[in-house]
Amino acid sequence: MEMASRIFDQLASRQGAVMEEIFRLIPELKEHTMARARQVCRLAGLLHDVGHCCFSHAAEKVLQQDSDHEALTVKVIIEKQYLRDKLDALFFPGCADLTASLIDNPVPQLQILKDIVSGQIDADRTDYLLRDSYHCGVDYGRFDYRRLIECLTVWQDGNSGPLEMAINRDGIHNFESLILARYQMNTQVYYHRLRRIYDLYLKEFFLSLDPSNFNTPDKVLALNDFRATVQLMDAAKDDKLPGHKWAKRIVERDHHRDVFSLDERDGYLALNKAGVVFSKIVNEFPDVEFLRDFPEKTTPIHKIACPGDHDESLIDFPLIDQGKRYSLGERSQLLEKLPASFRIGYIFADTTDRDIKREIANRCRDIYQGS
Amino acid sequence: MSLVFEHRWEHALVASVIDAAKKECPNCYLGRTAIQKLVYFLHVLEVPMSFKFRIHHFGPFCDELADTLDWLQADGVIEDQSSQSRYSNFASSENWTELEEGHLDQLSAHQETIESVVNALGSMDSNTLELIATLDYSFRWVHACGGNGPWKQSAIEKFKAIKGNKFKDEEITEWYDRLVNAQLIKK
Repeated sequence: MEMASRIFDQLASRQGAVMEEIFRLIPELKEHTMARARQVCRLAGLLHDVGHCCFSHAAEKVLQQDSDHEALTVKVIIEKQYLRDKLDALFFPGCADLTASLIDNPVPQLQILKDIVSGQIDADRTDYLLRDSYHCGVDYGRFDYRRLIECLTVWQDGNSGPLEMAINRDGIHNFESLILARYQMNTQVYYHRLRRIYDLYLKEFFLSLDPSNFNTPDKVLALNDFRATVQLMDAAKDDKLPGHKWAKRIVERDHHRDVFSLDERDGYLALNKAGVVFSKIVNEFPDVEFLRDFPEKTTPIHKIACPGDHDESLIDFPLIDQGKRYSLGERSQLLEKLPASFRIGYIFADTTDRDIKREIANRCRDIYQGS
Repeated sequence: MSLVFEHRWEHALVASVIDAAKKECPNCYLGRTAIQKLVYFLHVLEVPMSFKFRIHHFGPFCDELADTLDWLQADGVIEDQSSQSRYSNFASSENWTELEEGHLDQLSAHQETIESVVNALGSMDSNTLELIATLDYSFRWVHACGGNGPWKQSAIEKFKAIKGNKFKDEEITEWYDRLVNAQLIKK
């Protein structure tokens, strides 16, 4: 919320009059236009993850099978039994719907507010990279966010085009530090092998629970981190409770060891070969339990197109120099060299014996190279 | 060889589109851009899917769908038959039948829509698909801005703001009218 406010205020200080003119086209923002737009932006920043279930992404695929945390977030904001009436009464009529639209699908005039909440330089990433870095005790993930925000501005093509978030020339290197922070936190922390194996245990633990415990939004929201942790601790102690095996591993820090990993630059062909490795290694070592972690989606580091890029998923991010628009990808030396996305995958084996681990790892490598 | 990875409804849907498009036009190139646009129109026609489209260089685009193509290739559901590294030409592969069998009910519920989109658009080149998908997207953009229409002029202005001078005025107008006749968009 604080980051969203800072970014909104910065953009308003640069192009407030243009923003006001466009936002005023929305009926709910006809009066007190900028104050209301700012409020909606702040609320979207505060509430955008309110639909996350316990342990966020680790349990999402299990607890929210037919949905995702974004859908539940929108539900919590717009439905009467949750926040709708409170938001509309506390702030202004229509506030709940506008807030939800910034998370889901904003009207085109408010796209720039959505970009503040989740875009290329958004409040969420700016906030969580710094916070996670601090709480993990690492030096990755840090960048000068104050300076980065100071360098943000608004760009409009002609007098009628949509408003776009842009960056001034002076902010190139701050933007690069944000991208580097994202790259390093992802590769060194979020996709670290230990973090991934414990995520797998959490997923298996939730899979083993009775699904009727979280088959409604209310039940998903009720199963918060505290309640889930209590269930996990209980299950770790009692082998008759569902999920005992996985809970015990988490509580006793008794994890599988990684015997094979995909390189972050590997593409889908490597994924295919890794699938073959897993199928074979399971048969060759029947006494060892194996787990695999091959993420379906690649993790984006940035989406900025550089000269010569033919990747359709990349976009132009406006860079403003002396009042003219350029593309950030053309000016940044660093973006050209960094991958736009990556995928790391692992095969884990349940063994603490170093010789067996080495033997399995060597065999995995041989199968991979021969497939 | 059988499926190794986990699969969802969206995977079966995309593989089914590829299979149907290749049957409709075996000699047509079926690249990433074309698949993006075919699935985009299924989204417009309210076939359920978690894919969310945003406007990119070549029209509406979904990152998750791009990852899905890699995932399907990695599991032998589809294959790239192109000999050129820069362009793809997808077709269904040996594991498609296994994936299809797991989603038969859902697929048959939407088979008619899938076939109608593939019949209408499956043999078009990626440039034309880019044009019509972006026109459709532009209409939806100006429509979402509010007002009562007519929409044609503002939708074409929006289209040009996205595409610049890549397409001729006559072809833009012609395709806009065709989309109106197909009742996908309004005048």
